Amino acid sequence: MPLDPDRWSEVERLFAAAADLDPRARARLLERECADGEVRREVERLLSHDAASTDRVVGPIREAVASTDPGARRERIGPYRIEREIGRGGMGTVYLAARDDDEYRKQVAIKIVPGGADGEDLLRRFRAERQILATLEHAHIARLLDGGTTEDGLPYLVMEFVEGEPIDAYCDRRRLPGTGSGAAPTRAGTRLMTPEYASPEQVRGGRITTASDVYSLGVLLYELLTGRRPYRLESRRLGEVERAVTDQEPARPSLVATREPADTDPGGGDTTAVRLSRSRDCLPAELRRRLAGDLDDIVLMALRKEPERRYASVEQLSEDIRRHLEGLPVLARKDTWRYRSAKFVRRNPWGVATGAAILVLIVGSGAGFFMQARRIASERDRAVAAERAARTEAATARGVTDFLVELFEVSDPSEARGREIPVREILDRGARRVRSGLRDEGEVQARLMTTMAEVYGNLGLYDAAVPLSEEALRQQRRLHGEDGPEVARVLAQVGSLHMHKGDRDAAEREIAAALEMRRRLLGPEHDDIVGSLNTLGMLRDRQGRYDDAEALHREALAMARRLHGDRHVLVGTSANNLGWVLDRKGLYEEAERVHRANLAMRRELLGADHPHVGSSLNNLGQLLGGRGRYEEAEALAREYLALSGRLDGEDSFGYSIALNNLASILKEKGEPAEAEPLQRRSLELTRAALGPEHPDTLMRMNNLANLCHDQGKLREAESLHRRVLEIHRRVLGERHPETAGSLNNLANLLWDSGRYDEAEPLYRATIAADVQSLGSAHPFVAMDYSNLAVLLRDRARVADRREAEDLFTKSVQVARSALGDAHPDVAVNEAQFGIFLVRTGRLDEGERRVREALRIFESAHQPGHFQIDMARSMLGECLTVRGRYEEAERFLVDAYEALRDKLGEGAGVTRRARAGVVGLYEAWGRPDRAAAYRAISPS
Amino acid sequence: MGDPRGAVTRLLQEWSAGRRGALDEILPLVYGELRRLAARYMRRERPGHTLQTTALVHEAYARLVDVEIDAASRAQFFALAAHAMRNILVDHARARLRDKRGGGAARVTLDEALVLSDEPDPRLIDLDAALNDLAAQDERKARAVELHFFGGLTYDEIAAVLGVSDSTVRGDVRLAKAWLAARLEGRGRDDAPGS
Repeated sequence: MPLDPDRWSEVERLFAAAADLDPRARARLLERECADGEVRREVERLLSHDAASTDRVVGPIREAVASTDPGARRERIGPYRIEREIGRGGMGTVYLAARDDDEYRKQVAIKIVPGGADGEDLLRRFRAERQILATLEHAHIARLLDGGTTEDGLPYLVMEFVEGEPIDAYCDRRRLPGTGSGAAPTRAGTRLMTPEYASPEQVRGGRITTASDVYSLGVLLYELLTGRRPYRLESRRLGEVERAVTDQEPARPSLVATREPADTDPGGGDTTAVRLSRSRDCLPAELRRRLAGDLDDIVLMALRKEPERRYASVEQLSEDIRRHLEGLPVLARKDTWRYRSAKFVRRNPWGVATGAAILVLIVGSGAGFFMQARRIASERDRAVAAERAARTEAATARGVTDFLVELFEVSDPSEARGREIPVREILDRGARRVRSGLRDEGEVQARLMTTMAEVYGNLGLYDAAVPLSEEALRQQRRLHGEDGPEVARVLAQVGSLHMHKGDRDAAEREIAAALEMRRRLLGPEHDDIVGSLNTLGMLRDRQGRYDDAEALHREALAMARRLHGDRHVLVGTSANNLGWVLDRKGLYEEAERVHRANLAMRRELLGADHPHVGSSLNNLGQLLGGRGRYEEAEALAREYLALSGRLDGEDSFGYSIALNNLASILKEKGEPAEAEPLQRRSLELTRAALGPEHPDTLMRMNNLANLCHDQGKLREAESLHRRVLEIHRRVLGERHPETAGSLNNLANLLWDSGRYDEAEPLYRATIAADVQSLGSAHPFVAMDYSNLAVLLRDRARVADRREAEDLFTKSVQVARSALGDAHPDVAVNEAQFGIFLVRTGRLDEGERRVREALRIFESAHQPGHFQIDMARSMLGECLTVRGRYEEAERFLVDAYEALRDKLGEGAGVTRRARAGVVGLYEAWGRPDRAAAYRAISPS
Repeated sequence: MGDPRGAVTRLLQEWSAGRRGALDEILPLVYGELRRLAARYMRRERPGHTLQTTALVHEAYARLVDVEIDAASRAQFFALAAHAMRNILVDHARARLRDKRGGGAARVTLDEALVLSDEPDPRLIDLDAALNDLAAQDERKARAVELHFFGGLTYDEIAAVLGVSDSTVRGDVRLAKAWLAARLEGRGRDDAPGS
């Protein structure tokens, strides 16, 4: 029974007073202060349990608890007794176990496959796995002994386990004398090959296996990374080559690369890689920095003398390269703390603009598709896939190797020395070769085309990418029918390329179809579905359908989290996209939270120097810059710039992005003069990487034009804008959103110079283009309406009034429905509309709209944001018209001075604010003051 | 009810605006979500994933509450979730006990992480009963224990929920732990004085 409340509070009081005393003091306290025996017994009992009580209480909760893992508390699986867990990962958990019914006493490794499966499916999976293991039986893969289902229905596989023996030693032990390798032979006989690429087993006349292909790729990688062959040869006589290949240990690529390359290479002059290197100033110096670590280990593992100690297959090598690119620990060496601080090759679309990176990408994804195909298949119909996979692997490996060797071989003697080989040319040559040279190998050809399309796409060369990808799609459909994970993969690629190219209708069809197919084939949740959701979200974002985009990115994020927990690359990507679209929607606070949390997660997961960390820094910086938090934004942009310098090098395309983005923040901060040199450098780098007519080059040029505009260098601004526009029209066509963007910017410049009649047709063309390509509900269209309306307003022709008013009305409606009521872009339109109303005599409504805009700016931005001053200046204009001059003066003069100090005298906003001051003094009857302000010149 | 996510957020906002009854409507939603999450873990759809009760409660929060809400509402949510968590664990233990009595309980090795088990533990049911007894003596202390151990709330979060100071919470939890330890030890051996 409970104590009565009075006694209980006495217990509480005494317990609190006594708890921290030593036993004698406790006794004295109770003696002194407690007369009630029952209370005293209770307090003593509680005190006696005070020290040891936590476990007593928490224990049962803890023990409601254990690993959720199947078998964590399993003692047996089938006839096997579990001894301990020896590893776990995404594909299941592996236990050390022993069979003790003593059919034969032996330690084994048991892998429990997660997820339930019905008997039929299980059997198929089991057979498939066994099939794969049998086909690919190799030292790195333990022998399969047994398999079955646990009591609760989870499939398991039993594999050979050799206790305490490192895998390499195990491999050596298993090597059979005479055959030289346990690896699967890919073809009979020997293979003719240039000595440089020959593996030790080849020069000895041994058996050629998949491991030999791995070796050849290793040589190629070595060469591309270091500019040298792995061995020092005095001559190319066979005996000499054989000795070198079989006896010499290649030096670590990073050590070779940190030495200056020798002028001559006794092994055969300049290698392809050296020529490639010379053609790009970022190579090999930039690559050298990246070599130490994973790439060293990957290359050397591919080059091991004993075939069975290399990667088991090209696929495994590719997978390791892929892991390296994604910043994950690689198989080629043990996982150590060093990964956390290691530098990674930037998996940035533009990082591939180097010969080695292209190679890495091709090796990585060319055969990586094979991996992917097999992974997907394993969830669907692994038995069938396994057979096909086993057959295809050899072909793929050979196809990829041959292709690469040819691709980087310089056949034309005129190319032998000196001439630069642009990346584009290498790719085009590769594309031709894929199309013509591999006609008989459907699967290989399709995969390589997909890969080439990816490389083109990453470089923004969509015109070349799209047809390749479409051809790959046709081929996959011929091979696999309309449906299938591989078809879905290529379909998704085609869709994504169309989206980037700006062909939104095609993108819509393909992206949606890929998503639908993946949902149908892969079950409700899958990495590929996350990918498709993200792509579709990006498309919706481009269509201005921000609500839909947000929903898709949220779904992708939630799915990625369910699949992988909170810390995962895919979670990072989805969160990043969500943050982006929230920013677009004007939900700045949530966007900031999402980006900050994601930045922290990515840093922790990937280390500080990782491209994904860079993209988070960048997006967060742009967000803060847009809100007027310039100091923080600039700091982030500079951090991003420094990171890009370390990862990409200061001459790289990646660095040009960081420069561009820092310049844009400086521009918004009102430091166009400081931004201009950065912008020029960015333009230079982009032009060098992508050519003079690439959309990104044009974007940089456009930004430079705007910087000139801000500084009052109107002539240069105009000529830049006109060049951009001319190229956009020619390359992308009149109706493309990019063309519309440059039409608009040129028109802005003309409007700002008072050249209304020249600007008007450009604004009208902008509207037509945007409505057609983006639809009439897109927020860009709202801006377009407003721009034309402002022009008509400022030109002040009575005949235009009606149209101006219609345009203003529509601009506010469209903006509000696309962006909500609190978005700064809505406020811009409101304020402009307000001025129109005031000038046409509707003072109350006009002033109300301007004040509403000011309120929106004040709540959306930090104090000091230029849009707040702009709106205050506009409010001053309203007050001028009302004849409230003193009040107006305060708003107008303060706003003008603030803008002048922030953005400079030459900025359009400042000049318009100054015009407002002039207008005030004229209306007020103070012509001398008006004249003084009019006389200020923007320089 | 539609999307429980929006509903929970809305109800919390109503609670915050003064409608006390809103909490009663939230509980089933929180309970449902936790159950669903817990069931998924118990079915082991995510092997290799160790689950802390705290993490589970936070996951439920992340899934159900989609906008920023004030600290008091947030604390209320966690209080409800802690209560739901306790019920789920205890129900689960009860159900498993029914299934497995006499089947020979497996040995359990524990590490630091609190993760859901699919193994019954009769002591959890004892603890639950002891907590009910404590509540009869001093409800606030029982709630503090529930919040701390089932919900993973920190002392200052508990203070916010219970409307008392940090140090009071500290004292409450300390005394409650001692009380529960004494009660659980005493069970079946000698009755607590005063009973």
